[in-house]
Amino acid sequence: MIHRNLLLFRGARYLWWSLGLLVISGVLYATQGKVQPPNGGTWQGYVLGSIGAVLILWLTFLGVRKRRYNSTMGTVQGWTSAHVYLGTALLIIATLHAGFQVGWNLHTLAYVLMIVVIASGFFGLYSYLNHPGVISKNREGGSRAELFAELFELDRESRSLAQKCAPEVGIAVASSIERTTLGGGVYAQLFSGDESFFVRGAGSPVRNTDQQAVVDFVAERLPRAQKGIEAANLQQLIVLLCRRQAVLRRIRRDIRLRGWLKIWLYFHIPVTFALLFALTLHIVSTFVYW
Amino acid sequence: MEALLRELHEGPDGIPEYRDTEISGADLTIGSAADQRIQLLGRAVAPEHAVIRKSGSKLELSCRSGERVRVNGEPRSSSKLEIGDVIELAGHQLTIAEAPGGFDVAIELRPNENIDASEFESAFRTDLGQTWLSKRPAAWMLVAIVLIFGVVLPVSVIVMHHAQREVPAWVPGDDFWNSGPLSPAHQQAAGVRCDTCHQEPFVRVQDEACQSCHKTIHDHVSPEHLALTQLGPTQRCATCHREHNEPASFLVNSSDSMCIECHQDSTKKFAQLHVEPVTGFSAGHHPQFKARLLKPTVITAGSTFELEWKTWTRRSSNRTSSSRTPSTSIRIASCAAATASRSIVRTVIVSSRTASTSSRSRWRIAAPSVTS
Repeated sequence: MIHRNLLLFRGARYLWWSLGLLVISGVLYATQGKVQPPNGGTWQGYVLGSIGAVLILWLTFLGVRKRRYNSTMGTVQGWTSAHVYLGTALLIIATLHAGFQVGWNLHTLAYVLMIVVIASGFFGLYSYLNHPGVISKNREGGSRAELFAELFELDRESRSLAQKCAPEVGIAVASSIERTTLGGGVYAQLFSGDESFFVRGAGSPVRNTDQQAVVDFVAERLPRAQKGIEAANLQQLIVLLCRRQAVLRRIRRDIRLRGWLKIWLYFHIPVTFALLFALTLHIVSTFVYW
Repeated sequence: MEALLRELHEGPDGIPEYRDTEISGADLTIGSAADQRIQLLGRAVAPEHAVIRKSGSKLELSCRSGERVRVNGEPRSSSKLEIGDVIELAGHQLTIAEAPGGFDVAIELRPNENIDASEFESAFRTDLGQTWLSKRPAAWMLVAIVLIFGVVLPVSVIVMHHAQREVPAWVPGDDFWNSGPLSPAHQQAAGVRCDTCHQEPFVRVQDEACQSCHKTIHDHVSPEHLALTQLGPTQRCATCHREHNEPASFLVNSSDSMCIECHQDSTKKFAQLHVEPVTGFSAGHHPQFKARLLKPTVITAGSTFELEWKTWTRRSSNRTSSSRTPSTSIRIASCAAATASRSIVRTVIVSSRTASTSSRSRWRIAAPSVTS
């Protein structure tokens, strides 16, 4: 529900705040240009720059506020809503402060860092609006722990059933379970990388992407089954392995979606700190060479 | 190293079952990750927990930093292993057994059967927080980059400039603080030396810096006249001539508004100095041009007379000097017959002399037209 209310918090109150701020900024910008062209050095430029700097500090403060669980200074939901709208407004205010002038210098560096922070924030907003629905749909209302519990049971059942089958089937299934990969590194989590293997017959391990190879291996044994009980076991095993495949797909998808839900923060947060530092230098250097 | 791993389970009817696995490879790795030689599940098991290696004829166990196992009941981070030693880890039991022929080591594994699904989940890295991605080191790294280009290099270059040391042109220095392009002439004169104009840190560019090159530029208003007004102290050159602006041509501000800013309510601001108000450059907004600052001197010559117009300006190269020279003198011969109407005086410029110091004075080009 948080994601649905984020933008519409209290009738999009902070949207109106931001629009008001933008109108003020627009007026400030438009009144420049008589004595010198619009830039950060006019009194209007200084005011726009001060608004931008205060906004950056306040926007950063969300990271502090959301950790203060006993704070009564507004709700985190309200803060986040304001964070989104005022952060978007900052993009325009800072551009007006700069008077659309860029160059290979510290000032533009601070501006570019701010753009990266805001752009990653937009990506995060999109993820927060879009992904939670997809994630819970993928889990069918359950939790990730439930998916793992299901996988754990399927592993146990298929392992014990496979031991009742021919030795090469037992080895194949046991090795496929042991060598199943889930998640892993950054790439594997974000792109559902699958480095699963299984031991096929007497040979060395072969790739078992999406568990298809081990399902095929067991299925090939089915027509050659000698006894009725053997065929029944193999059939049951194939059912278990296919259920396992389905659960693994769900878990991989869950890992991938949760990864995309979080990855933007690994840009948003570090670049914010670089921005705070660059902003300080921007202000100081402006007055060193006044 | 060739190892035999015997996994012992309790079968459905309480009869022990076992499963043998042959493991070959340099190290016998133990951990919860899928790529470990011996994969053990449980929250207390790290993805890569411990390694069993062969050193000489002995076996040696060593844990990853921060990890521990129990060897014969004692918590250890490393240990030599003998036959019969029992390694315990999160309820799993590994016993070193006599190796059959062809093997270097045999290990009996009694897995902890009470591992539940939630512990099973911890065998996998399913969160970005478990990868190399980290916000704090990334933040420090980015701050360091900004620090190098924003502080370290500029300050070093400033220090080297002060010490009169050569700095290669490709080294980024305090020009990284440049807030916008310089006008081409200033760029050529100053190059990358910001201190050509910005001589004192945290102090606005002073007129002395401008006049070190612009030696013959006069004041817009002389200090004597300025003292008669309520305009306050003399404006800096840079008050009107703004640098580092885009476009660079804006350095010489030709917009009317700059003039009008002071001249529009001149009656108030200029106090004793009588200058008519200017509200624009069009008819009705600008007073008639007059030679207000030229002082006429009447020189009679026979039946005619001459007017000599003089303006007094300071020696611009020396601000403190009070010595004065007539910088411009325009001699006008007027023929005004005593009998003729005195209301019209026709003037003819007969000579225009200009002193060398005022060769750029605006009065040279503004020839006065006198009517009385």
